[in-house]
Amino acid sequence: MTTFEVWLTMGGKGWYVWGALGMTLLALLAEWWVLRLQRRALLRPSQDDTWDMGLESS
Amino acid sequence: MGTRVNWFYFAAPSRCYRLAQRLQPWLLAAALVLAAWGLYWGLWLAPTDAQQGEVYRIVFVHVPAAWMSMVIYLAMAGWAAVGLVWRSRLSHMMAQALAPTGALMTFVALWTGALWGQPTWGTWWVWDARLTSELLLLFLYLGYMALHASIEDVDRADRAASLLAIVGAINVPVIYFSVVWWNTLHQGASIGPSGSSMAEPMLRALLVMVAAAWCYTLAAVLARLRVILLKRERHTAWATRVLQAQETNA
Repeated sequence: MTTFEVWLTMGGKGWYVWGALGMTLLALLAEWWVLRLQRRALLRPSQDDTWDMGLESS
Repeated sequence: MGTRVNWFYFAAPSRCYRLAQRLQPWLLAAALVLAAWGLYWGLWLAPTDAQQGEVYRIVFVHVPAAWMSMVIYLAMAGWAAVGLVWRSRLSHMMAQALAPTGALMTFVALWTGALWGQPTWGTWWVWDARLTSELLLLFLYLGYMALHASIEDVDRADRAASLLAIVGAINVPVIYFSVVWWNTLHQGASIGPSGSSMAEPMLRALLVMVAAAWCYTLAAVLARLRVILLKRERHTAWATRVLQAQETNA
């Protein structure tokens, strides 16, 4: 195994380490995505009540 | 005679909005740079832990998230108290802007803790004082947001949610001192006022990641504060101008 492969597998605990980092990244990206939806929802005054969840009604 | 600083200058919603708009991109950029730097140090340069092996590297995300979850709650309770005492709308908006990021940090701390606990303790979860009080913190954040969203009148929602935030603040010292007060499976603090038990390269990476978490939190909270300000101040001239400008750019 190369040094990079050893690092990537994290001594056999790669799923835990990369899983923790990947999940954190996804959670942070989700936060900005929701913020973006909320900003967009502000431009549609009639859809006021969907704002809190950052959802757009049909 | 020194120059007198008017601390209330940015208490005006329009000025606060402009300040948040200016600071937010810089804070987000700083968070990205610091996180890249901290992760490079933490995942690549820091040595393997003699006892825990490679899995200890989860602490570079877990510890900053756990610290921020507590700091954000204290800040939220503080703004809520200021809002209640001085009837300042902006303080309530700050508290409201802090809650979702605090909940997210708590969730990340719990989840990454479980991913560290399984290979280290042999279990994803134990009803240990530290873990249980941190879970309670998540419920407090969710309760604050749910209570605020469930009351239609904004002033009443602010007051009710603020009370919950202030009462819940008692949980923060319980989380922090839980490993001292009770016999817990969770390890004690590695960093304290008297120093650190961590190796220097590990500590350096951790502190950089903590700085990244601070910058990220401030950026996310300011971004949310801008949305809240525009929503609540929609009827004012400045907010209308900002919304019209955004509509033109969209």
